[in-house]
Amino acid sequence: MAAKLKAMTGNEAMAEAMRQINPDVVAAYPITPATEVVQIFAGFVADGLVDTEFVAVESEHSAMSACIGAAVAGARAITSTASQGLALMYEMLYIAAGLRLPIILAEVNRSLSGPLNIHCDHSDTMGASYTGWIQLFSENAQEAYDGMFQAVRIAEHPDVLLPAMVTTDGFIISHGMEAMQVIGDAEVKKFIGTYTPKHRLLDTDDPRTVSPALLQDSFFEFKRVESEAMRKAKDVVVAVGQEFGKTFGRAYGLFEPYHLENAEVAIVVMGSTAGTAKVAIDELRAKGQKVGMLKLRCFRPFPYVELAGALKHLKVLGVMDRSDTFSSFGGPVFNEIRSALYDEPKKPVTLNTIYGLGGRDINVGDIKGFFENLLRVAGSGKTDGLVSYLGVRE
Amino acid sequence: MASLKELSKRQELLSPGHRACVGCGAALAIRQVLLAAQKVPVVASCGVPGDLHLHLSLFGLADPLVPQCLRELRGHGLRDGGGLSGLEADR
Repeated sequence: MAAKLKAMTGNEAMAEAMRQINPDVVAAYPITPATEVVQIFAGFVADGLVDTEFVAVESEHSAMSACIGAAVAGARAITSTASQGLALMYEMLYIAAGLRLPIILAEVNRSLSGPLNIHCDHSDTMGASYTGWIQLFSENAQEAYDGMFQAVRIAEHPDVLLPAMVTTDGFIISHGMEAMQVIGDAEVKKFIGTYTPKHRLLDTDDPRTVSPALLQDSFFEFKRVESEAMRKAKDVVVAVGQEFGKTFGRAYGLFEPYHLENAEVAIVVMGSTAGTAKVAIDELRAKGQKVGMLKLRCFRPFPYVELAGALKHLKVLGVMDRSDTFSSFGGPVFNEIRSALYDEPKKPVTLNTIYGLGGRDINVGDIKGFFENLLRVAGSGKTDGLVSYLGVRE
Repeated sequence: MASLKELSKRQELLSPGHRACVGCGAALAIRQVLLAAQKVPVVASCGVPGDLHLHLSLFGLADPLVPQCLRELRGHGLRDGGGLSGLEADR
């Protein structure tokens, strides 16, 4: 295997993955902090390093529209965006999923306005978590790079045929340089294979209607099948992650436990915060505290059975959300994790903290402080409320 | 330019089964457009729901003789553009 150690930012890693995937069509519009992904890829197009038809569009709505058109025509299509760009794609995200088009989106997590903020939180991606897209989160650039190849396989699997977004955390990963393993082009090509859609719109010998009008007598059945595809995607995520591990030495699953098995108190996090949390956990473990973490990689499909199985033994669980639902009942990850645990006869006290909005730093001390609160609850059995806000001036 | 008399001898591409009302101007128009444009390989509807979209694409009744792609109001042009890019890439 011709893997090379290289220093790359998250955006460079995503763009490099796109070069190696060599998609048929890329349609995109720039937005901070995802701009570089397409900017770098446009360089690959200009230099003749890919065979891609690059469509420069006037908005993210148009970018996703063009990707949908390309995918309907039978092309492997990729785009990239962040924040307001993802929000502007919103209408098209549902259509991509509903038409069962395996489009890939390199998404860089950024807050949603207003007020204006260009830094990391998960508000954009969480807002799109009901659109029918598979969502894979990354702790670092390596996971984002690896995730892009897996996303192609997962999205194009005949049991799935759903679009997939691979996310990094804005600036923290997208602009942070790290050493990572870059796979050889030939190995990537072999792993992702070729995309052979079952139907192509432009097949005039077999004319079809794409996106027909479905009324009360048939629409429901189509959505039920879409739901079933997302359910089946869970096993495909696991299978592809394992195959990736066998092939390239880095296996992936639905989530990654960290000192979780014998922990009494643990946290759930997504994205780059997992790296910081591992340091906090190591330091607390060195002092004899039985603490651990579950890093949730696959938010869609939501692996509720597996999550409940991995978390039910805990005394206290703290779910860390990098976005707020503004429902007055905590963050989106908290709500789904707590629901997943509901049917367990023995389950942890499950609390929520919302942190890091608009790129607010989350450091080792912050996470250790949150753990200390959880340990206090484990000792006393008393809580100060379900939802807290970490690192905010109040 | 073909006359209506000449067009009437060509193969109808708008097949029976659409839900437009008898005498619907939109259905007549698209029928004539398709007759005139016999070599156009794909139909992309630019109508909003309630117009050609519902008339021509009702699931179970739509049986086009040419491929057609229909969608909501916004983004027609870009989806069609993307489709052409996909076709170019496919070549």
